Amino acid sequence: MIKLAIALLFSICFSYNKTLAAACCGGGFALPSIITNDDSTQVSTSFTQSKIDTDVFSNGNWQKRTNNDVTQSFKFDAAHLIADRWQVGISSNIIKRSRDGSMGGSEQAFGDSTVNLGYETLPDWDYNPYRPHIISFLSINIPTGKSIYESETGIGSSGRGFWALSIGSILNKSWGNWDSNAAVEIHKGFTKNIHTVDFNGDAQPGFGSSYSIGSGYNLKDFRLGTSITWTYEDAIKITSTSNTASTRAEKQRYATGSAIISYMPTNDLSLTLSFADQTLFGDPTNTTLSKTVSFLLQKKWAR
Amino acid sequence: MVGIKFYSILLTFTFLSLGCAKPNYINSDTNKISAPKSEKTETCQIFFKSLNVCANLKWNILPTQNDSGSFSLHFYNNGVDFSLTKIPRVFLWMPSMGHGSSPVTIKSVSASNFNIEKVFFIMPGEWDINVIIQDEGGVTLDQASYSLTI
Repeated sequence: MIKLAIALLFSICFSYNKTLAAACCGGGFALPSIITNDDSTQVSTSFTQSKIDTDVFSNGNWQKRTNNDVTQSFKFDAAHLIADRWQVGISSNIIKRSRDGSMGGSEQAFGDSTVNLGYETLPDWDYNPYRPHIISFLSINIPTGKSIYESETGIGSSGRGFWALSIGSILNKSWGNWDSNAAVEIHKGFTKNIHTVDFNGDAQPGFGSSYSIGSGYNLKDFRLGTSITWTYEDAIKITSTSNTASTRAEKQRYATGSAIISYMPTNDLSLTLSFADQTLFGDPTNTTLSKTVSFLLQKKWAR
Repeated sequence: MVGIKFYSILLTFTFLSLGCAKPNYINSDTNKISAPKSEKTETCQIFFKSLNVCANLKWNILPTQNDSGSFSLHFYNNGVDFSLTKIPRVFLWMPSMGHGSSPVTIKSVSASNFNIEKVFFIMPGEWDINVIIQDEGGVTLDQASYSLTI
């Protein structure tokens, strides 16, 4: 019974090992919705509220935000097995952003969507104290959200604005009541044409990556967990059509630490509350740092 | 027992790898704009090299994190007012992030003086105020930028 509970709770692990955004500019690259245990289908809905706490400049200086810049997100994720070791998933969200001041206000829009293909690279055929369970994935970010280039006020940005391809792997392992997990992904964005009142040209993103580690302890129907995710984004190359000169923005880097508590009232239903803080870890540069509270509801169907 | 040992090693590696952040906070005075970075002379804040024209920027209302500001631009050449045949284009750009901000409003006071209003920077950081001098047909004659930190 305990082993079953632990196995089921694993499915919660990567609901919240999400790469939180550098909130200024409409979103980061999130890990896709992946079934990491023996279920055939899982559907999740989540509500997230994030507030920008600090801006970190490219010269390493940190500056506290004095205004309220809050992003709320309602997200839907679904994943389904299409074969014994293959799965597909989709993810979409609605984002509402609010900011104080005469130039502030509130806007909401669809965020970026993702579709992904997962493969159970290393199954748990039998128990091994060292061999992790590994699932690899290929994910496509679809820019259904409004990018920072299409938002005149900034608060209307709800997505990165780029098509992007990502590959990665998720690893997990349990020992009794303890579990641990890790994930690594790398992505590449594709060039976007920009046409605004002030600027016409191309924005060409580079590579980005994230890796995370986490652990948890399972106590009856509850799981307490922590995780940390490091995120890196290459500088974006900006080319204007009005002249041949191009500029390169600075790279971005930040880390997100999370504390998670999950509750499973039944074997197929879970509720998760998490708190994430981007101001505690890593060596951030050229980014905004936020504090986030999230609530997730997940329903699973066994094979 | 073996599993617990493995977990302990993993946990140790985790903590060694964590690396707490080392914040380097600066004062966030919302009414302060740092001195501009410019290689030009003190009397010429924005220099248009091709036209040999200067423009000076004077803040009328400083922008804050919440509210927009406004400034005036005065164009001159060797101490004499320089008349533009078309209202200049002015836009805000954040070079480190690679994006702009809200469009500004430009009002002509005279052929060499302009008021730029609704100047709002959507986030703190280093910004460029880009100024483009155009001919009557809208073709760019010259452009220059004024750098500042919000």
